[in-house]
Amino acid sequence: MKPSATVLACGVLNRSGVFGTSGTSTTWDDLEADPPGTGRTVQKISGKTDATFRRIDYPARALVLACEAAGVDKVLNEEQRDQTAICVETEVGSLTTDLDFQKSLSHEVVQASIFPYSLTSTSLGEVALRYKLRGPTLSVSVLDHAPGESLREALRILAAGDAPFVVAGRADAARESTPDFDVEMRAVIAVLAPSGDGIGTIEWPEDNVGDPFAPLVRMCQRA
Amino acid sequence: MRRPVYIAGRGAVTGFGRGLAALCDGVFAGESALRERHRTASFRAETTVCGEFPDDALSDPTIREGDLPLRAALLATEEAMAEAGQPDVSKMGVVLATTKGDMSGICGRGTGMGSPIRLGAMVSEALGFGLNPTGLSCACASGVAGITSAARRIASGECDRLAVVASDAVNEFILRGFGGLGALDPGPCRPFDAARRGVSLGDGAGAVVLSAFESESIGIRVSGYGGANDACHVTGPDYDGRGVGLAARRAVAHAGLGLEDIDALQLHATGTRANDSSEAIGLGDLWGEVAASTPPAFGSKAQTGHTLGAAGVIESLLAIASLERQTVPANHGLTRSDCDARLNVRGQPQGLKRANHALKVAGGFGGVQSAVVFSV
Repeated sequence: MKPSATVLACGVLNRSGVFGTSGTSTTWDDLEADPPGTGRTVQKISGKTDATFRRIDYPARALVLACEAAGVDKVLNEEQRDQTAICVETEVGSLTTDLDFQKSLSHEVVQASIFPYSLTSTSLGEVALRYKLRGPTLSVSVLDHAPGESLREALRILAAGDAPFVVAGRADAARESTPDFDVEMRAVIAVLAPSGDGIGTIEWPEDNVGDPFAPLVRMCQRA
Repeated sequence: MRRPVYIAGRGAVTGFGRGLAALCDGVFAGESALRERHRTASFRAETTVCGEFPDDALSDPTIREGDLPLRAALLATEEAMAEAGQPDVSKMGVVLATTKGDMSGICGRGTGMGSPIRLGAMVSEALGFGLNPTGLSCACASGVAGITSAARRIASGECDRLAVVASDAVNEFILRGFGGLGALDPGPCRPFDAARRGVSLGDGAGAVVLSAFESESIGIRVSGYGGANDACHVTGPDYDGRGVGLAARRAVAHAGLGLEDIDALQLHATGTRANDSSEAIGLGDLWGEVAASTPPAFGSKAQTGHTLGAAGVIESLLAIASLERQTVPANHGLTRSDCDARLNVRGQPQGLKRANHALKVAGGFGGVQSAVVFSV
C-alpha cells in the first residue's frame, strides 16, 4: 500500500501573493513588492525581522515566505523541529544565480558571495537555519512533466520512520524565464506528519495525474 | 519491517582513470591523482592542481566539457552493472546525484542548464532503465544522499534494485566559484594538516547498484543511514560539529549498532581549515562518549580531488574497500594534525582490528550532513 501523510500546515507563494494556513493572505500589491519579496516582506507578513532575507536567492526567499505563511514554527515546537526533515523539489533550480554568477566571471572580481546559491541545497539551508530544522535535508530535481517526487520522498521518509516530520514542497523561483525554463514563480510547502490530526491528508502522487501540489494549494485557500 | 539492502555492483571513473580498481589501488597505495591543471588550465583560479580525468579514461579525448558528467556516469554505471551481473534494467531505475551536471548552457552555448534530473534522464535512457529516474542535488553530500534515498526505497519494498550514480566534472564556474570564496589550496590539498589551506577539486563519477537480494551481494550491506542539517550557516560549518555528529549518530543508530561497533570512518575531509576542524570536533565529541578516540579514519580528497556531487559515492566505494582490505589508507599530505586529537587520522595506513562496519560522512552547502553505514 502506498503511504499517505497528515498535513499539519501549508503555505503558498505565487504571482498573486502569499497565503497559508497560519492565516496569512496578502497580495504583492499589499506588500508593495514583487515576488519573491524584498527585505521588508517578512516583517510585513509575520512581524519578524529578517536581516539577511534581501541577500538570499529567489528560491530561498520564496520558500521562507511560504514557510511563514504555513507557520512552521507555530505548528512544530523546538524539539520537533530538531528532528524535522526538509525535502523540496525544483525544476528551474538556481537559474538566476547561475546566470548572474556566470556573468560575473567576465569581471575582474567574481560575485563569490552568490556562488553557494548556485546549489539548490543552499536555499534549503536558509530554511533550515531560520526554523532550526535539523533533520535530513534533500533537494530534488524534477522535470516539468514529472512533478511530485519531493512528496513521494517525504512520504517514504515518514513511513520509514526516518524523521517524524517533513517540510516538503516545491520551489520554482527565478527572475525571468529562459528558452529552457518557463518560470512559474511559485513555492508550495507543507508540514507533514505520518498520522494524527491535521488540516488534511496528502496521498501518494501517481505519475501523470496533474499537479500533485494542487490539494495543498486548495487547503491554503480554504484557510 | 525493513528489508536489507545489499551492494551488488560498483563502478568509478576518477582522476586515477577508469575503473574501481584504479581508484582503490591508487588510494590504498598512497598515490594522488592531483596533477598540474591541463583541461582546466585556461581558467583563472588560485590553484595549480586538479584531479582531472586522464585523457584516456573516457575513450574520447575530444569530448566536450559539458558531456564529461554524462560520459563518466555511463562508464561508471556500466562497470557497476557488470559486477552486479547485468540485472534486468526494465525493472530498475537510476538515482542520479550531482551538484550541477551539464552546465554547458550556463557557461556557453551548449544545452545543459545545470539540471540534475536531465542528466539522470539521459543516463536512464542510454542504459534503458525502466523506472523513472530521480535527480538529487545536495551539494557535496549528494552522493551519500543518493545512496540513502535509494536504500530507503529498496528497504520499503517499493523496488528491488536501483543504480545510484553520482557524477561531476570541474569547469570554470566551479573552479572560480571555490576560488572566489578563498577555498582553494594553491597546491595539493592536505586535509587535517596544520598547514592546510583549502580544497583541491577533481572530476569524478561513481556508481553502486543496490539490491534487495543477498544472492546478488558483493558481501556488503547498506546497514544504516541518517541525515542532519547544521541549521546555523549555509556555507560555513557549525564550529562545534554538531551536524556531522548528529548525522553520524543517527546513521549508526539506524543500523542498530553502537558507536563502538564502527571499525572505520571515511571522512568528508575537504582540506579547508573550518571543515576539517569542525568534522574532527563533531566526530571526536560523539566517539568521546564511548572511547578515547574514533576508529581509524581517513579522507581521500588529497588523492582524488574534491569530486563534489560524486564524492559521496566515490568515497563510499573507498569505505567499502577499507572493510575488504581490512585497513584504512594513509591520509595523504597529513604530516601534523592540528585538529581535535580524538579524531584518529594518521599519515600512514592503519590496519583494522575488526572490519565489520564502516561509516561514511559527507557535508555540503546548505548545512546538509549525510551519513551511511556499510556492513559486512
